Amino acid sequence: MKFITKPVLLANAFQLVGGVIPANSPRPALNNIRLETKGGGVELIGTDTEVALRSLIRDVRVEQEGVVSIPPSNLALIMRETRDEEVVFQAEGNVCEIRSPRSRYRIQGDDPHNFPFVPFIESGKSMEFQVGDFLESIRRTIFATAKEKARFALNGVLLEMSGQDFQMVATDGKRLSMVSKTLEQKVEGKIFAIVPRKAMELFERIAAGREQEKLLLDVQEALIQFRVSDVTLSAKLVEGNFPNYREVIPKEYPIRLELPAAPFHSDLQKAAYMASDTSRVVYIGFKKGMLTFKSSNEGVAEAELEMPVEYDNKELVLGFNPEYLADILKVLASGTFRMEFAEVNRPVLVRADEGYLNLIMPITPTA
Amino acid sequence: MPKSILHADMDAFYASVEQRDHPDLRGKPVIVGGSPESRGVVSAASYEARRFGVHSAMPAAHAKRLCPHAVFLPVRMQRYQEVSARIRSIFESFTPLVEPLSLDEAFLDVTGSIRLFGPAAEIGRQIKEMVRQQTDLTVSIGIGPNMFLAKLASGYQKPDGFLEIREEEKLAFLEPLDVTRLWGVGEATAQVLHESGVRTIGHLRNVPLSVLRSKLGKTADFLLELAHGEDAREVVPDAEAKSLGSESTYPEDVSDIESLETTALEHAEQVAFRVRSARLQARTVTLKLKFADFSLSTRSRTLADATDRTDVIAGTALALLRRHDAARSRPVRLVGVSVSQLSAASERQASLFGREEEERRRSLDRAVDEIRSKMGEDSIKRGRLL
Repeated sequence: MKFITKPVLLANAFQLVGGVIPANSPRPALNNIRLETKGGGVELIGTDTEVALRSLIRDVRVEQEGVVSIPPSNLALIMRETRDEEVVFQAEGNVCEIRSPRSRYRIQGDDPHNFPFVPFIESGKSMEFQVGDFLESIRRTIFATAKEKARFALNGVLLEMSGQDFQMVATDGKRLSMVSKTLEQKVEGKIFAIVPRKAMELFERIAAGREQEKLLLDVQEALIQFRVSDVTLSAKLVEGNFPNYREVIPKEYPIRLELPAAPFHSDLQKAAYMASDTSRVVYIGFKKGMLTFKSSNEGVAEAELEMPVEYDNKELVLGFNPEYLADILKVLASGTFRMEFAEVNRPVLVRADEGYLNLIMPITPTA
Repeated sequence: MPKSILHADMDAFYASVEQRDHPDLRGKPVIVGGSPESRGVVSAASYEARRFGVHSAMPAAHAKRLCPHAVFLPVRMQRYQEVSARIRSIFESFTPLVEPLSLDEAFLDVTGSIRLFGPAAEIGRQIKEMVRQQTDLTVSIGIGPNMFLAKLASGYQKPDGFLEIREEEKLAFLEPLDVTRLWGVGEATAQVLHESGVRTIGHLRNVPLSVLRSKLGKTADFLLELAHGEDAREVVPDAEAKSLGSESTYPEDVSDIESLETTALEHAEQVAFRVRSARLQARTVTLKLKFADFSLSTRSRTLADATDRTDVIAGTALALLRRHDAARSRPVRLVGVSVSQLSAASERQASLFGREEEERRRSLDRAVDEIRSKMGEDSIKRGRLL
């Protein structure tokens, strides 16, 4: 195998594909990146067996076809720092050599046959989205996934599509975030796919700077695939039962309050700084014309802030994990949002922009 | 290497602070706590008042009848805290391993301090002297190879006591003592033992474990250890780092996973009960296994939210056990479950889903707790829910 290319192209591809590779897999082959000459270009693949990333470098001159499997070995960093115009990548057996006029690197690779089989979908019937739109939906939901391991379905983001309805939902069991849209074109059949968090995070990385490009999406059986120009991301869907989220979304709440996002976020943050690390709770009090933010770290610190608002309903105090609210406020497009609620032991609705809904379960004092 | 544990217990602390702050009260019976006219109780009594039979937790009115000329003073908690902090800094000048039990009592692990300050007895004397110089108060000091013996020693010649129980003399020391001196032997247990003719710790040592178990259940193992002067508890310095745990050693090593699971469940149940009784919640669950070769393994998992639910603590402990490969291949001698990252259970993050199930679990916990509190900890055991 032998090809010649620009070092920056190798750097980009190695960085992207290297992002999938597990830090220290017990299967050495998984710690590698597979390179293969294909259709006049060079294809790089990395995988952790759950998620796989493929990147095609087109701007190369292939002098000898072949395939090789090598550890990333900080090649992304090295190639980015290489000042020569071109590098020659050559493999003899499992040993790779990368040369430029002023440098030479040798890397011991592994038998490419040990590299796991990675399935990609070649359907020709992909759904089309704008990268930026899809990315926004992910950013508005991904933070609500469960962070701790072994929560299975709750560790993923649900993508549900039927006809022209599009829903992206994530929940950790205590809060839920959902984006709903109407698609321009109908999708075929019903799609109910729980996408692992890692795949969504990788998509965010691929999408950065490509917001105007086209995303080709495929879902087939237990696999989902995202394709943006020469980069393909495929992921095994999470098996498990996603909770029946529609059931917990309240139909109608008696109290609705429109709030300015920036001052609310600022007061919330200040109160959160004074909250105790173990309980992490900010109490928001609603009374006529006034919102109060209160927090305390018993015997050590206390905060109380007031914010005038147009509120004229029953007095109520709701306890929140301040992060749950801040996560939402960080991704809003417009300057205002709406809180809807009924009583202390029911989930609070936070709505903003078009089709963006969040549910937060309050923190309640124990009797 | 045997440990050197020191137990420091301030003598009639609140009352002594008052006598020091008001020199005219020295030598007089002083009672700190509720006024005799109200329904308050005695928080502390000076030794002069104790001679009349006054003791803490007694109704103040009763104390007044026993010792009519006593001076009654209100509790000045802030003042006692100040003095306590002063004394604690004296302790901490000898070792970082200080576990305060209350304002007037603390355990110190001085094993590592001996090279620097001399033998434990020497450290004990220095502490006594520094407390006297800096606060004008007296402290009773007990020293032993473990917490149980250190505490026993400090209480032996109060006030102003000083006693060291050495490893080689512990058995002889314990031999003639009444069984009620053992940690955890209350009236009920004492009565059971007395009925069998067991009055001293020496007697207790001669009772076969199987007989003792038939009478006392699981506490038998623990009592017998204490009777032999054994106590594996460790001095835990930081109040924040405190944990609650329960563990047991099998009479014979165990290899089958189901028995291990059952034991782990029992300990989880015990720990969860104690977490709730203390009105706490915990975020980290730790499983401890000791193997036949005495090697030790601990595995922990930190939860997203603090909990006081038996099913959550037990489920986490079981998951840790099931993922522990060695537990399937090597005989196990000891199983323990503990929780840490404790916080006050003053508020709770509710769930969006399965709230009925959660409420059901909580009311089950409450029901079991009520029975256990009334009838004793062994009164009720759950079936295998998990």
